[in-house]
Amino acid sequence: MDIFKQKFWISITTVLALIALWALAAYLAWVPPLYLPSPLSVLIKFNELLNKGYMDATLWQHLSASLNRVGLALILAISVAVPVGIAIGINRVLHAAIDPLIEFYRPVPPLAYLPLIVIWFGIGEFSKVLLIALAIFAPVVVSTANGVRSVSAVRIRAAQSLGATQYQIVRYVILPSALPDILTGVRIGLGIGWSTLVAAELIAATQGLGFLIQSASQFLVTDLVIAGILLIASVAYSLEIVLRCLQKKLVPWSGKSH
Amino acid sequence: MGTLKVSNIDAVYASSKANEKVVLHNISFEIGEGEFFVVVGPSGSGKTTLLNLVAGFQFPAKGRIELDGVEVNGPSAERGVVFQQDALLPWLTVIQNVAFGLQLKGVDKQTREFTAKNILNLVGLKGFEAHHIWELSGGMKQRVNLARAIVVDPQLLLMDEPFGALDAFTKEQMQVLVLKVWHETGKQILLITHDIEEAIFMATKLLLLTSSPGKVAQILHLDFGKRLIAGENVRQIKADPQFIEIREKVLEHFFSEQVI
Ligand SMILES: Nc1ncnc2c1ncn2[C@@H]1O[C@H](COP(=O)(O)OP(=O)(O)OP(=O)(O)O)[C@@H](O)[C@H]1O
Ligand SMILES: [Mg+2]
Repeated sequence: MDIFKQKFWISITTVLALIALWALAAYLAWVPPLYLPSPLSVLIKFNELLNKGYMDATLWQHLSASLNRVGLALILAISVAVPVGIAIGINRVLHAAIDPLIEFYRPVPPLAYLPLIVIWFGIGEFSKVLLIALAIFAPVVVSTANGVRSVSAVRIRAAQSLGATQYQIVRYVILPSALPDILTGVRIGLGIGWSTLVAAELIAATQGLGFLIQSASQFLVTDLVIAGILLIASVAYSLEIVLRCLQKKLVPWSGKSH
Repeated sequence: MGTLKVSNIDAVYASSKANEKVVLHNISFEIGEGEFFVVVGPSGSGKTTLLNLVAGFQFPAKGRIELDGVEVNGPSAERGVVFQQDALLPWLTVIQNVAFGLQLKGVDKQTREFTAKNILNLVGLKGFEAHHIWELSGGMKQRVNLARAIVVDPQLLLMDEPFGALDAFTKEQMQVLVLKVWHETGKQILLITHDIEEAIFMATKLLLLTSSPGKVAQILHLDFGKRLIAGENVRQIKADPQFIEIREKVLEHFFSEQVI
């Protein structure tokens, strides 16, 4: 595909140009290294991180601490959000009851209710996971409910005329029909969850990528801060790619006119 | 085996309490055993509404609908429905779509796929079992829809313009196929259409519906479909002077109604 290749090279060129500009700025000392360390020193720092770790933990421990929290939060959020989304997508009364609550808390940034969570649940692991889970929850509920509501009435009627029970309709028609929307919600939620991570790891964490950046910034180790940011970005990007592949695999019919 | 009995039904849509619109008025008819019953009428005459009432998707404002003496009070597997294309489930293969009704009944996988396969052969889709829905043409999708509806062995088969989106050639193939399936399975069929030629060709009983509100104008007894089963050629039947005469009469009927 020509256009695809062309796009790819444009993206690569932009990234390389930015790095070159960054290197030039550092080399010519336009900005003091404390503010903008050179790409090389970031790379060296990254290598050091890889070999020696940071603050009594290896890079993998930081990374897996973060991934564990996000993963746990994701499971927690999905296992509540999907049933709730289906319920409010099907039932108008439930929708009227629950939707305002969700719409009310959804736009509030997680940092704003972080103190409340700490007061309620302390500074343990649970608070961090809960904070991320709350961030993931809203987009998954909303897109699940939307997916359920947009299931074609004809599909449901067809199942009814084949003798399907209410449960069978939900299980075999509504759930798979809404799956593309659910996965889109999960993708959006995971993005938000991952970015909430840094906030969550402000709560007395001793490991994790968010903690790493936080701590490095306190010691003004700017190259480590930048290395950490790049790391967080690449993990987020990889997760996005994985989910897109999963979506293609799980819902191959999505986007195909049928 | 019994009959579908529609007695004096009215259908009403109410956008508000004060704003009621009577769509069907005092409709009565019966569909007997092995009958191919066709309803034809202009757009907006309430054909789809009538089918939805019989299927149990909505309820009449007045009157009764009974199958074998039991009042219809919702959708059920003894009244199968052949929908337009988008009623199929895209995450299932062709054979899984056809077997879906049996899966709902709890029939084991081997048995249901065996049954589904036989029905796919009947509708001319042998070899397409493992295909995905999005890989099929419009005509093939309609064959799958038909197969899926008959797999659970309904007593009555309802179809709302099942060939409306098909080209003339595919449409005629499907008409012949449905007549063949009708003959081989012995089902009662209620077909809704606005295609007058199709209606006359397929019906053993043809109900002409007037519009706003839909009322029974006339019920004709026909046998062109049976002539096809007996071995006569489609084109020959549709070009038969008798066929043309009836077609022109029905057309005239609808046009004269339009003028008034
Ligand atoms: N859900 C609804 N609410 C209000 N009015 C409706 C509704 N469905 C149909 N109608 C009206 O009822 C009348 C009959 O509609 P119906 O769909 O039964 O006609 P039809 O004969 O199937 O038409 P077509 O040949 O175009 O499919 C129309 O005037 C339509 O506007
Ligand atoms: Mg219609």
